[in-house]
Amino acid sequence: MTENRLIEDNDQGQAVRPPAVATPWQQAQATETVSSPAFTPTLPPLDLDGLGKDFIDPADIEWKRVSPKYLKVRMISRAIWSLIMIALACLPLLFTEVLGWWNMPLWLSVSLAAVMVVWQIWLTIIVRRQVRALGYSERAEHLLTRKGIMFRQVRAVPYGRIQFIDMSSGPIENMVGLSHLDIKTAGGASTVLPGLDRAEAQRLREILTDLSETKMVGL
Amino acid sequence: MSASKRENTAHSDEPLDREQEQTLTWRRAHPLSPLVRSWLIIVAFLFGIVRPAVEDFFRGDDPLTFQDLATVRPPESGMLAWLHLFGSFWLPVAAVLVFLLLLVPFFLTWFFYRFAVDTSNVYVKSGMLFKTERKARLDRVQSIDVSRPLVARILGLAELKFDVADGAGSALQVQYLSYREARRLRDELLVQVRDLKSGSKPSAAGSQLEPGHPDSAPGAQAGEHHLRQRLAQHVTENFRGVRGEGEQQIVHVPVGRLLGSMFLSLGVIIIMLMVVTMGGLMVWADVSMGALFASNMAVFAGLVSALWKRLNTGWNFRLVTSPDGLKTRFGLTDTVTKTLPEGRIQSVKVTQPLLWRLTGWYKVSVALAGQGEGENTAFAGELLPVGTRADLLRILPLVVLDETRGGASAEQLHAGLDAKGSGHGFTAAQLTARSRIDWFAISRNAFSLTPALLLVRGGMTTKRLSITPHSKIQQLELKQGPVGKRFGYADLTVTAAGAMVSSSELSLVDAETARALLVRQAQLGVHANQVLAAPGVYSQTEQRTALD
Repeated sequence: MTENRLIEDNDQGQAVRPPAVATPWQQAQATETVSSPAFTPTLPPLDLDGLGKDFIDPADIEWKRVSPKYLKVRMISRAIWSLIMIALACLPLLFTEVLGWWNMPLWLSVSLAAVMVVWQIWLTIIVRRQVRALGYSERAEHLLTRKGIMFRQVRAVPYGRIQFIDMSSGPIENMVGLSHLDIKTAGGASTVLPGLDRAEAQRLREILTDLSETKMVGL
Repeated sequence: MSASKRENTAHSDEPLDREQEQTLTWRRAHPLSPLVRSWLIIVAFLFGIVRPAVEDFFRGDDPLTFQDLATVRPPESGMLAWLHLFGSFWLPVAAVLVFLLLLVPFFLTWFFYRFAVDTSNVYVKSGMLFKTERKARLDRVQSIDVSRPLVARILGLAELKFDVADGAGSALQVQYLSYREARRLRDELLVQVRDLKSGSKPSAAGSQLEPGHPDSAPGAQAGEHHLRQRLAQHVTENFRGVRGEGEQQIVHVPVGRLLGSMFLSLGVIIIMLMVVTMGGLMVWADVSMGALFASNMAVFAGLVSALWKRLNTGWNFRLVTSPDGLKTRFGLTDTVTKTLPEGRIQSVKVTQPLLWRLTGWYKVSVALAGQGEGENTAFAGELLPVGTRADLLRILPLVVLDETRGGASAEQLHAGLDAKGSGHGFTAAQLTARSRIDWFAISRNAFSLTPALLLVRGGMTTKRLSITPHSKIQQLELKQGPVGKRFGYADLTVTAAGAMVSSSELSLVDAETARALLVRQAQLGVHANQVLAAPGVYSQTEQRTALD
């Protein structure tokens, strides 16, 4: 059962297996494996955690948050995009009022630009919330990721199904020394872990690669 | 051992080791293969140049030449004088030269295209300027298909396709070999693949077939030297079906039923109604015929070509069992044989569109790993394009684990096909969530967990049942939007490999159940493998996964 432990790193970047941290998820798994070596004819009923219906995070998960520097990255790219979008939305105003090429009513072109400005301000406001909502957690057999506040998403990727991992960083990320990981399985969209410090990204990549090799399951 | 790093995936484009390369015996493809690729040019040549020339010859006319040009204006340059000298002889020669020049790249491609096979890999080397060397590990090969496009068939050639299990899903191909050679090589390699895979899992049943078992296809030994024989064989394959050794037919889809199923789809009926309305308008309202037809021609042509394509590909669809796994065989002009080793099936989906309820028809499709995006993907994942309930009940036991092995019972499958609400192991969405949102689909949306399988039922108009083994699940995703938060539900998406039926979405389960299901499903996905690894517990199950 030693394989089922939470994995952390040491200095060599090698996967080591620290003593168990008993979270309910791991306990449930351990007892099930021990008590039922073969398929039981029926599965036990689902263990409802009784915590209500207005969230989706599995209980008792401590999420690791992304680097605070990632907020800066997101803000800069948001600013660039906002400027582009607002400039585009101002084009009708420019064409009708200044250049006189188009014949659009004034209220329409003005409100188009105004709506875009409000929308971009809103997007800029929620960036902080969005970044705070990002998280990941290395479980015994899975990598869990979460994101979103209004549209939430929790994803579980079994280590043994990881096909490959790409580590990359864009120009803005490079400036503040961050990277992101792209984790791909044989099915579905790839899982992106953004805003990792380079060292942390490297550590994660090493460990995930090791784990995916030792736990690899053929298709 | 694994495909977890990009460099380690089953395909690699890196250069091969020199020493390794020397031990291989490289072989060229069949010398006729450039003709298969250049057939379009050849046909264009024959029609454009040769036919008028021959016709002119028989009519006694002079072919249109530069001679006229030359007589009108006296030759000034050496070139035109040259032309004048040769007269009508010039043009055909030039045409033939240009034609041969056009063919040169195809022959060069063939010349630089080599392949080799050793005990554990298949290698393909190609390219003159941009050399590529690809290799596929045989123990990663999911299936080997012999495919025969029409032109290749006429020339007596076939193509070998290797489907390899990596996420990218591109396949390695050997183009082209003689049909007999292709079949022999495939049978040989399949045995090798089986040996390699059973070698890595000593507990598995292993292969009972001795290496190089004799080619079993009728007609393959009787050399196919004559076009007539080949055509006869084509007809035999299409209308009577080839049986290999140990093959047993499970279902056959009559052409009439395929046609019927095509016309019983909602889209087709709407377009037919449109056409009828058009006709009506023409007769009674006296609308200009030409304008009407012109405006709708594109739609009409699209419809006809789509229908033809499906009919052509699905012609005489057969599903057979064989020692190598399930095989499907289909196609009118191109007969395709697909082998589906059982471990390669990732997920099974049964659907029944609304209008098929009138006739009681179902469709069964499977998701496959490493399915290349070839031209023949239309029926690639279909086990049954259209079939009766009896056909369905014959097929499902072949691909779905039964109750004794942790799978689904017959009642459960029936409930998955027909029933609504909870019961028979299915858990439907809670009433609170159901009463307000999507109340059309909600009473059928349900899931059921067995020790080995996840069954998801859904769809009010098009009934769906998808069956995914826990061990094949690649990732799990739970989502909740603002509306879901308001009404307390969440969506769980389960993804398996393969493009055809990739994810079964458990929409509108209440959030608490969805959360518990995510945890349970995550446990089962890993747990199931641990159980399968324990020797002697479920030998039957192990056999099923021996080809993993």
